[in-house]
Amino acid sequence: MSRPNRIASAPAWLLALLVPAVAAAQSESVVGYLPVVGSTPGNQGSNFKTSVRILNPNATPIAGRIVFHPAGRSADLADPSIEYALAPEQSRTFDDVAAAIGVTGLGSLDVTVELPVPPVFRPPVFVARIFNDAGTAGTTGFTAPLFVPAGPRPDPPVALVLLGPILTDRFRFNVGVQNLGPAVDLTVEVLDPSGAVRHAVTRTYAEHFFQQTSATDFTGGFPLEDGQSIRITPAGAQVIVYGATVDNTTNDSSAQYASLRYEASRP
Amino acid sequence: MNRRVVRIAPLLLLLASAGLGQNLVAGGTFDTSLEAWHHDPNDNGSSDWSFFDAAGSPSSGSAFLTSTNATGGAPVTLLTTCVPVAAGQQYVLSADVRFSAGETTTGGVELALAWTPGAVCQGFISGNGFLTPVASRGDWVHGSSTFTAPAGATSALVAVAIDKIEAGGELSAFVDNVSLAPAGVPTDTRVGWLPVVGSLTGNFDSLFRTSFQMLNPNAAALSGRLIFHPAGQPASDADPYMGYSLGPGQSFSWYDVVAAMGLSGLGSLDVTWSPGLAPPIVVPRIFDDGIAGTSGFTEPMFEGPDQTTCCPVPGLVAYLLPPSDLQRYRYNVGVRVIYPPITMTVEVLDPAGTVVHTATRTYPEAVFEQTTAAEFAGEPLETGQTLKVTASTLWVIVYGATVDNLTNDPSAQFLSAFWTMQP
Repeated sequence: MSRPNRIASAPAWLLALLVPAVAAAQSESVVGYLPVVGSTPGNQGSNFKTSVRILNPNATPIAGRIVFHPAGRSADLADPSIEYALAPEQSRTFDDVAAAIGVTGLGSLDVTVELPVPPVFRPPVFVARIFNDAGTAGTTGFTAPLFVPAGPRPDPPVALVLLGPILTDRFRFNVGVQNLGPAVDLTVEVLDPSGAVRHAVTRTYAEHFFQQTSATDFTGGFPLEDGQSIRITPAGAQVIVYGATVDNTTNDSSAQYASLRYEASRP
Repeated sequence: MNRRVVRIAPLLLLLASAGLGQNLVAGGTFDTSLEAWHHDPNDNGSSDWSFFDAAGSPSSGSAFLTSTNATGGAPVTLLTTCVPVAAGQQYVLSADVRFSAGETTTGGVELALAWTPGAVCQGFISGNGFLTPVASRGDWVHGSSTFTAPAGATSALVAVAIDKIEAGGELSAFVDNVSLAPAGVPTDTRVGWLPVVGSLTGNFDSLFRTSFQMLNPNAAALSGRLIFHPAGQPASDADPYMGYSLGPGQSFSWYDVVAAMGLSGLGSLDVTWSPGLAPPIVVPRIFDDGIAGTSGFTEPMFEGPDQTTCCPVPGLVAYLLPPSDLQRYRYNVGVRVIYPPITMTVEVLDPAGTVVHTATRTYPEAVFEQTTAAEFAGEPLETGQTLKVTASTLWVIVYGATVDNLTNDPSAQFLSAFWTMQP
């Protein structure tokens, strides 16, 4: 088994979400996923980092690990990590979480907690900011959500959709896929503004695999034009996908996430 | 039946404004200006805003259009706007017109549609329109006609023109309540919330805008409205809105959605759609539009937990984690109350989790406010501190917005019991 057991999939705001009988044999459990983090130089002189603040919202102490899984290969328990231990409502800050773990490059993060935890347990509050560090010229970036298993929702979409940037000559667009389940084939279709399919390709992702590529690579060499979007099926795959838009002038990044099986954690 | 279901029902009516229709034309009521429209100066005519409203409302007005064309029988187009449409969908085009008294020229006001294949009204497929001829001058006349978007249409250019028959002279008219609304669509009672949008100047010479992309993920046409609620006042049925209408898989975008509605300032946005259909996929980006490029972030849309059932937990307890360097970044807190009026306890925690300050805040129903973190907490924050927010209801979305003082780049942490629509 390459990963620790995951805590039961009740929405975070339901508060009580651990199954002690199942979890008792495990030493830790994953409580959330951050699909992409990095401490890496990028295109056009960019220098991306990820800051993290973490807080324990429980009335009892918690401890765990922040595990870094490098991009481009399947995740493993032995991947580099940093431990945390927090008293009730105590917080801790990592200005560059990858550097704190002692790694560089692009990857994804798992947040774990040590077991056992109290019957009423809330995952740690986790605020990550992915930013371009331009030194004395300041930073540009965005706050990325921590993902947890999603509950049912009415009228779920039948596909995951990423909308490309409005102006493709001003922004570059990358697509990331974090596969949290078994190996999966994803059908990737490019839609024009009218909804017509302009291109289709199948991509295969290994078990517990993360990869980020340019949108052109993701679509199999089909450059996106203004107003086009990307449709990904099956929607029920155990994946979190994102489209990261980066301003070519400022290197400012923002991201649209899409997943049916996972959702941004809630209080 | 759950008692809270009954209590929530009026809220949904308030938010969705059922029965108002889904007019795709932003600013068609000309409440304060013509700014939602393209209305460049024209050698053959003019367009101005007038306080003269078709319904006599003191808080709204109309467009005053004049043709001075030296050539007779040549329509002078004075107002245009581009809206998304779904091919095969029927639309009702309508307007109220009042011709000026004292003129003797003849002709009329023409409302026209150019169906286009491009996402932002590029190209041309075909056109439709109707003329409201000069009749009893001084009276408001309602004109209406129904058209079907042809195959391949993804947007429509809505144009308002004055068609004067005589060469020379003037023909002028007030035009109000211009509407292009999908016909026969279900009421849009489902609501998603964007806690904050804006088109405004900020501190440090920032210029914040909100771009907005949306896509219909359904196999059927989808329509609804984008409703703007200005900050600092309760949401109202009278708040401005803009409709949308998208075919399966169709997408549309606005570079500045607030400006596209002819508005400016800070507010929140409701996105409505019809029950039984998946919500539109929306990608709003709040960004500083600087000379040297943009910097911003993608904001999620919130919905649920289930708009017809009750919430299992009475209130929201959550934490805002401000930036670690409060000299380098400024930090604001926004609160979007959905329902009902709420009381909120704000505790300032030091890094060890000790409460060092407590404040109580109250908010009326359906209001949106953004303040500095110091105003929100009741005292200036120090490095490493956090904010614990305890609200008396789950029906609220709170966010902490971090802005880099050098780049004016914003980002935000959202607190909500509601799921985000995408993901």
